[in-house]
Amino acid sequence: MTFERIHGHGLSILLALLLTACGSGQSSKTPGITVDFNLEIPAGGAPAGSKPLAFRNTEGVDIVLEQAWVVLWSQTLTADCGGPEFVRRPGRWLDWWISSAQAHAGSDPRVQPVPHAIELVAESGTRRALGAIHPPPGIYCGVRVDLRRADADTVGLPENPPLLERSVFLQGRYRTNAMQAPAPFVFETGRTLIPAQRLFPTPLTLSADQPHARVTLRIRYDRWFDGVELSRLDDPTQQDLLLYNISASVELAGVAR
Amino acid sequence: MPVRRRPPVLVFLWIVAWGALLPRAALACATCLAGDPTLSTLGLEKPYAGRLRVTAGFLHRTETVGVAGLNRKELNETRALLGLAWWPRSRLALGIQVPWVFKHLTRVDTGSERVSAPGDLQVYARYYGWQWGGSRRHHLLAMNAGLRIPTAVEQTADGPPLDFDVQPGTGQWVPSLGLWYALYAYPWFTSLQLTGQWGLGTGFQGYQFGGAVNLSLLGQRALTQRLAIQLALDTRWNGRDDYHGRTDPDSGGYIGFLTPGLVVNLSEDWLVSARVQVPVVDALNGAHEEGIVVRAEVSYDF
Repeated sequence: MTFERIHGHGLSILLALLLTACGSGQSSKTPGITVDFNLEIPAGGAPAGSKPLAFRNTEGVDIVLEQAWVVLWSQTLTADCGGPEFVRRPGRWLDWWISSAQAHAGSDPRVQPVPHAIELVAESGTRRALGAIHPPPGIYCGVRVDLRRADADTVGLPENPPLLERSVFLQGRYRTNAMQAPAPFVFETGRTLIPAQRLFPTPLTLSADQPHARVTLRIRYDRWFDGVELSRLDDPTQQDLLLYNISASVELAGVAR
Repeated sequence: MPVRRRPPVLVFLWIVAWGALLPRAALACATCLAGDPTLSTLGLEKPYAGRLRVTAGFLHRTETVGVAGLNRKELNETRALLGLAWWPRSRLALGIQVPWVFKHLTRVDTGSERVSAPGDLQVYARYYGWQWGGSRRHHLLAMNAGLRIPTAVEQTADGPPLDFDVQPGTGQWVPSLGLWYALYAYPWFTSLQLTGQWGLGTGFQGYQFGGAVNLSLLGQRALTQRLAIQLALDTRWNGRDDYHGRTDPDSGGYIGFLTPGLVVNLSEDWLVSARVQVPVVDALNGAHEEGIVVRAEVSYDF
């Protein structure tokens, strides 16, 4: 074979190779099981987004919330709800110093790992999409909601107040029957709250035939200060009670297909 | 939900390329020009100036990543490979390879993803720096350098990018360097190859290749002038990969394959080979398994 002929063949093939490499191809995706998580923030009768939020606790103290930030760290579908901690409302509140490795649980498909900073005053009466997960088929009995301090990846992280490394920030006023004028208060913490673990009304079956579900959570801010002495918010016991109330206020609003 | 169409012109060009390859006459004898009757498959050739070889290859493999019932992904991959190698000098080889990648990924959530697209283009060079053993050049020692170029397009299926494992390429530049030694002692043939690879920059979805070292020892014996059998030990060590700076726990580790194979000389310059890589040593990190790899090649020397 002549040198020229070799080159002719080689160049033809080389051209075809290079053009082939420039193709874009084709792709397709068949959706699998999807569970959407949403958060519903009740307005308490006030128009959506109205500020500030006013309510009364069980002790008759009038409270006005001007800012109310909490960080929803993650939501986890669970198939094992047999533990004593898994009740419709949290039963334990002494163990919220759970070590909190701040890595996002990105590799577990049962976990919605994107943290959200929620401002309940500004978002009252609204609904926020927290994210979607693609868990394996199974029968799920409940959801666990983790409330931890925000990291830099937290969605909706504000600059003011500085919520980074904070799990809760509250600012407002309160007034008891004995007080002439409302007194201001500010509370902030980076502590991990006890997880809110909620049972589904009926087990949720996810399979190729039943691939979609929507889990809606709700936060009831108007019960946060029940039993809490607002004049003693520096007291760790009062802080524990407040954090317990916040965790307990996370409810399951509904599970829909 | 197909979103990307393979341009028909590319299919046409592929066919045209193969049409151009069909020998109009038997004009050369590669083994004669190489001065050695060894049936040498892709990458094992004995060099001579002006040698030109085209190879069409096929590869099928399976891989699973993740924990069953939790986050397991099952990948079926088939690659059609078209390659060209040219020896402009007796001591230098240049090559180029383009794979067409077919991948099917099944996720634990019962969903699936499918891709058919060109993979990353690969170019390489081999310099035969040392040759000894008289005029028959029984011993060859060469240096290899290669580069995987991120020509593959990230597949999206009209939404966010598909899973990284189903992508036809990595989006990252991957150079490689290595040494190759071959002993031609017909009917015996032995080769040893050591190659290191590493990644440059960041690929699709924040991917950063953890690097790899490949060691391959191959023995071949010709049973007749047209038939040879092979047995190889192919081993690979991988570093852990990162995605957006986070280490993938199910990546990296060590795996060794025992690879029996067969080489058949169909006619003077046509060579067909098939190999099956069977994993015999599995020390991959995390929940990660690789299955049997089937390879087949057809080569033609001009």
